[in-house]
Amino acid sequence: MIPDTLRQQIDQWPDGDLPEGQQARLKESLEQKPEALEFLSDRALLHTMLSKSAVFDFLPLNAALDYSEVDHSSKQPLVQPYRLLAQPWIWASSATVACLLLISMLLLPNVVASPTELVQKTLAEYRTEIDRCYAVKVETEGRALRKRLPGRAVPADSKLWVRGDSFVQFFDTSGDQWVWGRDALGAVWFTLSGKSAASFESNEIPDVLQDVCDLRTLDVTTLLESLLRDYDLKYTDREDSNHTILASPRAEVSNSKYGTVEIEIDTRSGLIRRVSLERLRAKRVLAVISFSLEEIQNRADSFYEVRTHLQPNAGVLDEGPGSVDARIC
Amino acid sequence: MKTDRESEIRERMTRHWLASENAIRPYIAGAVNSLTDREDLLQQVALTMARRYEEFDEGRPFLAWALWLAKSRIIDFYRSQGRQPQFSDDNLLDKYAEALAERQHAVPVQREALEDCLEVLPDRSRALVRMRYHDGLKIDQIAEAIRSTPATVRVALFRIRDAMADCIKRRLASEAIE
Repeated sequence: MIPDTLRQQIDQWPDGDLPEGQQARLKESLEQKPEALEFLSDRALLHTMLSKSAVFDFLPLNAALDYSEVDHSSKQPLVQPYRLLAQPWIWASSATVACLLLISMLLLPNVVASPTELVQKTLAEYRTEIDRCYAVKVETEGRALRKRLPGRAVPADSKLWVRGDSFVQFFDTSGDQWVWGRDALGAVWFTLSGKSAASFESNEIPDVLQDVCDLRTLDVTTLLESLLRDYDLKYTDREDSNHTILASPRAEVSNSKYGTVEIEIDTRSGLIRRVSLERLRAKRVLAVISFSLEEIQNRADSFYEVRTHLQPNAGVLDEGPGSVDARIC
Repeated sequence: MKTDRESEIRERMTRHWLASENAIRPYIAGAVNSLTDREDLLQQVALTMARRYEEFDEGRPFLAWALWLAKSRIIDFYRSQGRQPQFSDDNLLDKYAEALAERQHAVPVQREALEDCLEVLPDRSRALVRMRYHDGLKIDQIAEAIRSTPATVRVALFRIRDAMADCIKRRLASEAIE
């Protein structure tokens, strides 16, 4: 079994993107581990096949990058609009169009987008690299999960910092602070009061821990995509720029992770101010969790790493899947 | 007559090259870090192969010969740069060549499976793959274009490639069962 960090280094190598410091370590691993060389062979071939793929002879839909104004019949690279912005006349034209759009929006306050359009707009404008802090409240919690997490009850209230797939969540318990998170490489770690920590690489995360990750964190992109695909949406409240949408799963959807979802969006900024959702397993409500936006602030990359939350000289234990129940409860 | 013979050799050489490029390209990619150096080396290998084609023994596998030429070019490249090669042990370069050669018979079916897998990839992931492989952007350029960080793009591409590798395996396994 190759550790995830080594797999990632090998994966990065054909991209020509591996920092020099890591190149030496990779070289050592390739010389010592035959399975690393095998993986490099597989990955280098995959890179070659990807670069020769015929799929990209036509342009894909591109919701996330919002290139809706690009001529999709063209074979120009997707980043063309970005490069064009370097030209002053494009800046000027774009600024004019943007101003016209803004003026139109301000002059027509009664023209309201449908809930679906608002969710689409929020998804298109969602920026994964921004650090957001949510207050998280678990209002009920399924017995099944409690059973899998015996011992100390998981605290109901917490603070959750999110950036893309990375997160750090702080729970205040009696006298101790339990912190856990997922770093940029996908490793999940946790620590009690920063005295010691356990960390699991992304391919080693036990099911029970993955369940808790899914349950207690907020993957906005997945949630919004799911709302657009599987839900009927309707407004329940429209006060100033804050619009609240109630999303009910369509009858034909059988495998949704979420039940009823309520989402409050600031239509001016496109920010999700509050989400309240039922988390399901086997069609039964496991928990009702609410996320309320508290602040947006730039955090260093290291904020999502375990070391940042440890006391000096505290150790990090790389654990296998076996002992997680004892450690997190 | 001489012209006929020359064109026949050229045709055979082209066929051989096209068949072996799928191994030579990843071979160089695994042994050399810089994208520009890789392209230069690939051209040098092609040039060397054309110059020395008459030495090639038709009774032996072309791929092994081409990979041997590529290995020589890679060693020369590191020597001329005065740098330590990625594989300091020549045996390791040989093992890497063997591993790639072994995989060559499966490449055509894997490529077909990959095309199917790419079709079902979510649009956003496909856009990243497109920028990296079709548009030839570097990681930091992609990050800039989508207003993200290089670390996020790296992790996203890593996961996409993992997903593609799994998807290819699954498809080929299910085809084998059928």
